[in-house]
Formats: sequence, C-alpha cells, structure tokens
Amino acid sequence: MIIFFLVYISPGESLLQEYLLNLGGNEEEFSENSGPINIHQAYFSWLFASMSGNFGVSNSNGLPVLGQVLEFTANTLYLTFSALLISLCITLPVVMITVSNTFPTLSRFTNILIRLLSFLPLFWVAYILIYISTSVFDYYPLATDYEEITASQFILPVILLCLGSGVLVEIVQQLTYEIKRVLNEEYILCARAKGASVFKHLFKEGIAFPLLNLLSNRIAYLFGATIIIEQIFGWPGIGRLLWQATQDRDIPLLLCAVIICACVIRLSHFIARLIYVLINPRASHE
Amino acid sequence: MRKNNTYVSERSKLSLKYWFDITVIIYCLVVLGSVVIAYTITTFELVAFDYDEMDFDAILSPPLSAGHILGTDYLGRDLFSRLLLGTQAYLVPGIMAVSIAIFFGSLLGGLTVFGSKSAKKVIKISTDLLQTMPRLVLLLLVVAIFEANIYYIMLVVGITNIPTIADLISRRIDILRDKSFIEASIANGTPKYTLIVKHILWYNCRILLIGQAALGMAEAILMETSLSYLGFGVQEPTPSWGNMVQSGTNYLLQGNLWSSTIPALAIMFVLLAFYLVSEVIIKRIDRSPD
Repeated sequence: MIIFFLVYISPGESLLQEYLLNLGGNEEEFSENSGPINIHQAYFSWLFASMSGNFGVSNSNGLPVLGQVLEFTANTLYLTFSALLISLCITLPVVMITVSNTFPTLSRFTNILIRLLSFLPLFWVAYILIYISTSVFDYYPLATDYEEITASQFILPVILLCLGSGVLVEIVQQLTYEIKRVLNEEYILCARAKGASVFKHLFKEGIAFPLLNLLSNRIAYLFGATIIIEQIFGWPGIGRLLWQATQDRDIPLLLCAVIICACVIRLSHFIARLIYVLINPRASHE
Repeated sequence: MRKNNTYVSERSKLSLKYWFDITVIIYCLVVLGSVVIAYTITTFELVAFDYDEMDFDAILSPPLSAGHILGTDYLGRDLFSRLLLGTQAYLVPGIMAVSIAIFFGSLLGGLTVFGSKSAKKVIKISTDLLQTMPRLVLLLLVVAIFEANIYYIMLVVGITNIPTIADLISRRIDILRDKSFIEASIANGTPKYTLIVKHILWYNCRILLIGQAALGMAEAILMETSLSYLGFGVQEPTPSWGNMVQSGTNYLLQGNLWSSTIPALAIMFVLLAFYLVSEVIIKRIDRSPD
C-alpha cells in the first residue's frame, strides 16, 4: 500500500508543476520544442525527465540540480535525525516524571514551559539564546567552519529544531496520554495481579508504537522548521537551499529540492511502517 | 466528623479547579476581545494611530518611555500603535484560512464516511500527498510562483489544514453513526444531506469545529511569523507582528531587546488564548456523555 503511494508521489507533486510551466516558465522545455507548447506536453516531458533522474540545470549557477540537492539533503538529515534523538533524550525523562507522578509540580512546570516556548516565534527564541550565550557566557555558538563542527556549536540548532517543529510538545503530550491509557488497561492489571513485569507490555503498547507513529509524522514538521533554523545558523542544508531558490526564482532547483524532500519524508514513513511490522507481525496484513 | 472533613477538602479542590477554569475563560475573553477591539479601532479609525510617524529622538527606546507606552522600533515608530495595527494583518486572512479548512475539511470528512469507494480512495491519496509536504516548503513554493501575499499564504495554510479536520470529522461521524438518534432519523426518512449537515455537523460537531478553528488561527499566526523571518510574510511598511519581531531581531544582538520582545510576547499571549479555547472545548467534549 505504501509503495503504491510512493509511486504516486511524483505525479502528485508535479500537479503543481502544471502551474509552474505555465507561469514560471521552464526555459529548456520551451527551447526544445520550439513553437506552441501546451501544458500537458511540458508537464509530461518534465515528468519523464525527472523520473529518469534528470532534474535539469539550475537557473542561477548553471550546475546540475540533483547533485547539489542531494549533498544539501545529507546535511539536513544529519541535523534532523540528531534532533529526533535529542528530543527523545529530553522528553522521555519528562514523560516518566509526569507518569510516575513523583514531582507533580515539576512535571506541570516543565509541561507548561515547553508549551509556552512552542508559542513563541522560533527565530526570536534562537536570537535570544544566541544573545544569552554571547553576553552572559561569553561564547559564540555559531559554527564558522562546517568541516569541523564542535558539539557545542551543534547543540543549539538541534535543540531549537526540536522545539520549533513541535516535536517536544507532541511527544510529551501523546506519550503521557498513551502510557496512562495502557496502564489503565485490564491486561496490565492482570499482569500486576500475577506479579509479572508490567514494563514489557507497557514498552510495546505504550511507548514503542506511539513513538514510531509520532516520530514518523513529525519528520515533515522537522523539515519545515529546518528552513528557519538553517537560515539563522547558516547551516548548509536543504532548507537554506529552498530559501535561496525561492529568492532567486530558481524553479528547477526548487522543484528538485521539493521532490527530494517529499521522497525523504515518504521513505521515513515507509521505514517506520517496516519497523512497526517487525515489532508487531499482526499488522503485516494491512 | 471525618466525613465532614473529606467533604470540605473535596469541595475546596473543586472550587480551586472551578476558579482555575474561570480565570482561563476570563483570560481568553480579555485577550481575544482586545484583539477584536484593536482591529475595530484601527480599521474604522475611531482613534487615530500614526504607525508611520518616526520619532528620531527616541529610536529603539524601551517601554514606558515618554510618549511611547511600549517603546519604539529601529526607525522610532511607536510600537503600541503598530501592535494594534498588526491585528489587521491576521484577523481577516486568518478567518479565511480557518473557514476554508473547516468547510472543505467537513465536506471531505463526510465524504470519507458516506461517499463511494472511489471517492474515498481519491480523498485518501490526496490527503496523504498533502501531509507529506512540509507546510513551510509548500508555502515557499507558492511564494516563488506567485508573490508574497498574505492571502495566498493563508490559502495554503487553510488547504494544508484540511486533512486534519477531515480526519477528525470522519472519526467523529464513525462514532455517531451507530447512535440511535441517527438510526431514528434514517428511519424517519430524513434526507442524507440534512442528516449530515444538521444532525451530525451542526448538532454534534460544532464545538469540535470551533476548537479546531481556534487552533487554526494560532497556526496561521505562527506561519505568518516564520515566513516573515524568511522575508516572505506581510511586507513593510504594513505592520504585522511577524515582521515587527523580524525587524526587531536585527537589533537584538546589540542589546536592544524590547523592540522584538514585545511583539513576540503579544504573539505568545494570543496563541495561548487560542490554545486554551481549544483545550477547554476538548475537555467539554470529553465530559459530554456521548
């Protein structure tokens, strides 16, 4: 079912292309078939070219688009997946404290704090953090050389990425809800009565499944938030590339970046689905 | 004696919760009401605010300085009047985005339950495609093709909100469909259209939809803010809270905190109000017997 959608993705994205070829104009297409050209013709020629991996040449710097985009995507993936890991490291203790109800005031406080931070404009929070680290701690957190990035230069964009894409809020809320729900189920009560370990059931039903679902859903949001984060920190990723392409109206570059972006997100959904089936073989029938 | 004690403690707990709810509601009313008042004042020019006047003696002045309640920005323009005028950038486009999302969302949600099999498949594929795209990426695409216009942006925000609302509505209908009052109205011979629109959407989903509308407004404001940072939001000199924060952050690293902090806090308070509205509504739905 998912592969079916994976195949479907490229024509779906390129529905927008009908507009593009109409309005933005793709020079190569027009020069190739000189004379009047209708939208469908341009669209299908573009579709076949892109299917065979030929995304054309960038308008602004004349380089082939695909290589550029893939290189930048690798940088972004580096950022996003470390963001996912870090967000897990932050949220799991918070969730555990909330569920076990040992420090109710502390957990309520952190929940409210995370929620409020998610309402603030992301770039403003980023600037404030940079300001604090430079003025109070006398340390400049922005990377100057992307060949060697130290951990301290890496941590700020990653944490902001977790915050900005709503990963933190979602994980904390959904996971506490799910764990509480599972703990109220009757089989947990039964396991408790037998004296068996509750954690095994809890881990599978209450933590692993919702987490997989959440993380794979949130990757799209992460990609959205990277545009801003990369802009602030000058990170050479796909978000910055997209922004640059939008500024220059570099349509081939933009299209390629958007499609690669969508493919990465689809692929991550697919991988999450595979892992889900691995954990829970019953789901393989769907 | 003991019985009496527990009774008192329970009651005080209850009243504490009650007061908390009351304060939340008052907070929401005050914040959203002030937004609406600011909007009406500025659009109908009941009080003249000069958002373009530059005070060169008081550039980047902090709040509570003479003549400027909330201080000034980098050109010496009064932040308070710009903050009031900034509501114009959101209210109508935001409502447009929300109404698009709700109208088409409930339409598709109804179709996924009552529609034919092929319609269901088409809806599933299209919502799947929409959810694959990061919203900001889609917005950048639209901005690159057309222009940086708030109405185009809000159109995209509304369209990307459709799948979530459709999903919620279809799930709600799934629950409602087995209820006896729906069966009764089918047996009465109520037309399908009346059944869906009146009995399901209006009587049973309107609270849910209002909650979603509040969330949608919050999202619209947040989207405009982040697009403002990238330079594609509402364009200067028209003030919006997003571009106020953005122009303020250019001077933030020099130590001029206030000109960006004030609109940022305004955004936070308004978003909190919208969020609380939806939260209260969700709570009410959970409490309701069906």
